[in-house]
Amino acid sequence: MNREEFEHLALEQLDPLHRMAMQLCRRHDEAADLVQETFLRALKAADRFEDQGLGVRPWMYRILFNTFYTRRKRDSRGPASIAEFFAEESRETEPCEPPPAWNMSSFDWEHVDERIKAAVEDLKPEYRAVLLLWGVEGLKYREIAQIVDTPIGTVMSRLHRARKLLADALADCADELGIRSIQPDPSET
Amino acid sequence: MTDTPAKPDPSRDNGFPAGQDTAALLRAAADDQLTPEQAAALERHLADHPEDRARIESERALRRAVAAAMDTGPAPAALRQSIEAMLRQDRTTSSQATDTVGPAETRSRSFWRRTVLPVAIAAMVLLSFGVFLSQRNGQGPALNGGFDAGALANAVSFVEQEHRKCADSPEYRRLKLTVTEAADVAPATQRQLGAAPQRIQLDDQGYTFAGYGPCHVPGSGASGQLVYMPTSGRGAPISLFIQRDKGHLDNLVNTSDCVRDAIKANRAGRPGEPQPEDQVYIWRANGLIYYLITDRDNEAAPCLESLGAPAHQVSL
Repeated sequence: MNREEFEHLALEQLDPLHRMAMQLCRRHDEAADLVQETFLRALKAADRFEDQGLGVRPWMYRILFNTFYTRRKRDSRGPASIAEFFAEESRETEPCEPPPAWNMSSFDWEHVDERIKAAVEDLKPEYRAVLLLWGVEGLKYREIAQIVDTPIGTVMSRLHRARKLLADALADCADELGIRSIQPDPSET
Repeated sequence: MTDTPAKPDPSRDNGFPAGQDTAALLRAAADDQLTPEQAAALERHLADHPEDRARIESERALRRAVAAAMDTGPAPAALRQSIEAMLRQDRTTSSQATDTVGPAETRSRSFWRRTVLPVAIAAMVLLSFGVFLSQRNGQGPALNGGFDAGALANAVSFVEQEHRKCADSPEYRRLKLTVTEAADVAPATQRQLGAAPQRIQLDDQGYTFAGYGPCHVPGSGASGQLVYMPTSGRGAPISLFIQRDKGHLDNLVNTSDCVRDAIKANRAGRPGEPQPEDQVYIWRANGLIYYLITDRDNEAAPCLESLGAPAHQVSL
């Protein structure tokens, strides 16, 4: 891949990288600074980029995450590295409950948005990161595993648990949000 | 009161291969992440449990809801322009560096040769300097002298690059320098670094404060950069970087000295002339490490005095 191609592909990732940076930093100036450093690092490491079939996207996300958590370490506010961060809680268990069966026609989407934001904010960082990569960026499990440097099974566990927590948070205020479950057919029971 | 989803019966046959949990597979189905075998098993499962289609749809709805709720929109135009400018600048610098080297070097412009190798050489020089200083102070070579030397070399390389970006790109300056009033620098650095520089004004030396922004000089956590523009509007800016002093340069920079270093500038020189250099002055005071960088060495002394740097200079 030549320099021009690399730049083109990298710039295509600017919006999603900035979106994720905003979720991580919560501040516009810090997010912009993080994205700039990500591009700078990516540019310098471009010679070493090897496409493993997933394109430049997971690779740049990984730089973003590494840069963010390295900064956290520097600021003594967090663990040492992305691997260490995501290994902090390694005993993940799969939620065995199936997803809820909602009647979506009853949703009050405007209020759902606010509840989801609040529920995402409440998630533990390692859950939040995986959930955002899945939900906002639409990444596959394998891509997320590559970015957060965690086995794919752990990613799935965290993602499923995060979704469960989110669904529970919405169910907690179901009346307010207009959430109704689809009633099972009595004839089946 | 809203109905809650019925709890699953773990004993029921889910139709999936043994050991595969229904809940996980329904979520994976919602994500289109099933293998062909799992997808076929899902179809069989749904034939027996049609109510689970709603569960899959709910998961998809949840994903859409997360995407909608957490989307922050496109990146700011200023950030895009700044990054594009940075890429252009790097491309120009790379090609200019190529133009000024001999033919044998022209084809090799890897990061390692452009940046890391000079840093490594600088680290070796600084290592020798560290050993020299510790011996001069009547001590043996410090065990951590190599770390210190590398840290300083990295820091010098970093401040040169950041200074150059701010010097060359108004967009980059605008984006990076988030504090634009000199009076706001002390509170910002106090909050960020736990200490504030005593003197930051260079008006008397013909430089106007342009802004302050956080950055990350290698070696000691958070740091910041102040940029000053020539009041006359002509000439190059200068930058003052400040970093929390955690003692990591103890072996290299005495508190009574101002250490002076020259670094090959990341900018084009005149044709036929050697690559230009930037001058970096490093000193420590009040819990902070300072790096002043300028390409006008003759104007450095009064600025250093105004900023309270030690008068005694040690050259690398």
